[in-house]
Amino acid sequence: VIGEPFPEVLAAAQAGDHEAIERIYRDVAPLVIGYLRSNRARDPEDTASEVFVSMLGQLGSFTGDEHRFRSWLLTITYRRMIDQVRRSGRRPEDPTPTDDLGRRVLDLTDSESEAMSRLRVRGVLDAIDGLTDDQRAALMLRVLADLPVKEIARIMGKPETAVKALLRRGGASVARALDREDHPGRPGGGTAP
Amino acid sequence: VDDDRDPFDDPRLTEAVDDLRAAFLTAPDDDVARRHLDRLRATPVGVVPLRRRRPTVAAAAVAGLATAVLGLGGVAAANGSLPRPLQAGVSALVGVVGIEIPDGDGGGEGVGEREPAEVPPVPPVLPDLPAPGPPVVDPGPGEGAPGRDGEIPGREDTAPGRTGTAGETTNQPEAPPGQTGDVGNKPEEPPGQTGDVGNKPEAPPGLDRAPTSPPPSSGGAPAGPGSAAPGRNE
Repeated sequence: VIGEPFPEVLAAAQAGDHEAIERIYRDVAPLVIGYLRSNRARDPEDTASEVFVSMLGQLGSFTGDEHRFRSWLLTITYRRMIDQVRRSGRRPEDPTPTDDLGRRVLDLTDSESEAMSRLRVRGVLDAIDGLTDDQRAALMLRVLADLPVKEIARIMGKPETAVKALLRRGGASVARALDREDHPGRPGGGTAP
Repeated sequence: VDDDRDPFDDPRLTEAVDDLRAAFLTAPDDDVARRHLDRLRATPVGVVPLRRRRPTVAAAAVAGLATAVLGLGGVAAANGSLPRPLQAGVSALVGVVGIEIPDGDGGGEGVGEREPAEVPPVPPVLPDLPAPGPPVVDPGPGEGAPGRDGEIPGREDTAPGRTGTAGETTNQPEAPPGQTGDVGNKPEEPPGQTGDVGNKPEAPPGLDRAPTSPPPSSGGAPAGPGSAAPGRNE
């Protein structure tokens, strides 16, 4: 997060200052690329490149604070991801990319690797892979960007009630996976008294 | 199920959420970042909006009010119901573009007073005589318009081959059809019978009587392109 100097950085970026553009990029690139990766986008780095080019092409018309900027950028990211899926005429990535996600552990730092290992061991990645595309897209906006329901609904172009349902089902799936890991002998888990 | 409850209030998910953030919110590789930044440097900062802004309620209200004022004002102006100075101004303004509305001088009765003047007067019997009655306010398409000055449609005093006045043409009804070689503008006349005589500006004055002469008598006219036309004897 850039924080307090964000308005000045944004103004400089809108004026074409490349240092400011790079600063914004360094700040939001993990969010954009991570969101694409977690949604199993094919070639997330290439898709992210398209997102940033699109962002820069519309940057001059943006007004708002940093929080709004991140939401605006995620809107571009989400739409670009949907366009990519529609163009390819398939789900974001088949087959189930659990192994693909795990393979990236090799490129992660120790803390990131530990986190990914825990997610795999506890079945969270499997649970996320088992979600529908909409459930996963909403869940990751909530988890990675920490956005409220209202903004997620706006980004996805869905009613808030629908987004709440998506989040509830997605969260329940992850919770069940965690329960199964905590109580391996209890099929289904999550309903232990 | 409580729809308003945030599913991520579940403490079981807290650790998983932290792990997801730690695993996915990672800085891109240097190569990837360099590639992205190189592409961004080649991209101009644009000002293209995501979508057109919707008009605000205030803007829509102002537009609606303006439309209503203009519409009602136009109707009032057409009826001559505006205040006299305003009516005169509007009348002068729209008169520039050829739209006539009452100017308010008649106290709101301008329409009734002006309408008779716009009706074309009865065509005079003799074309060369001045039209009786008051002068026409709006002469319309012109004084030479058919029916206004008695001129026969399709004929002109300056038509080639004619030197007489329009009044002489009134004596021509007895001329047999097809033999009035000077009347070159009659559409029903076959080609060739009029072109040679009517279109020759150097035609002798004797051709003035051509309408009453049989075809052979008009042979004095110089041979023209139409001299070999059907129905003509050399």
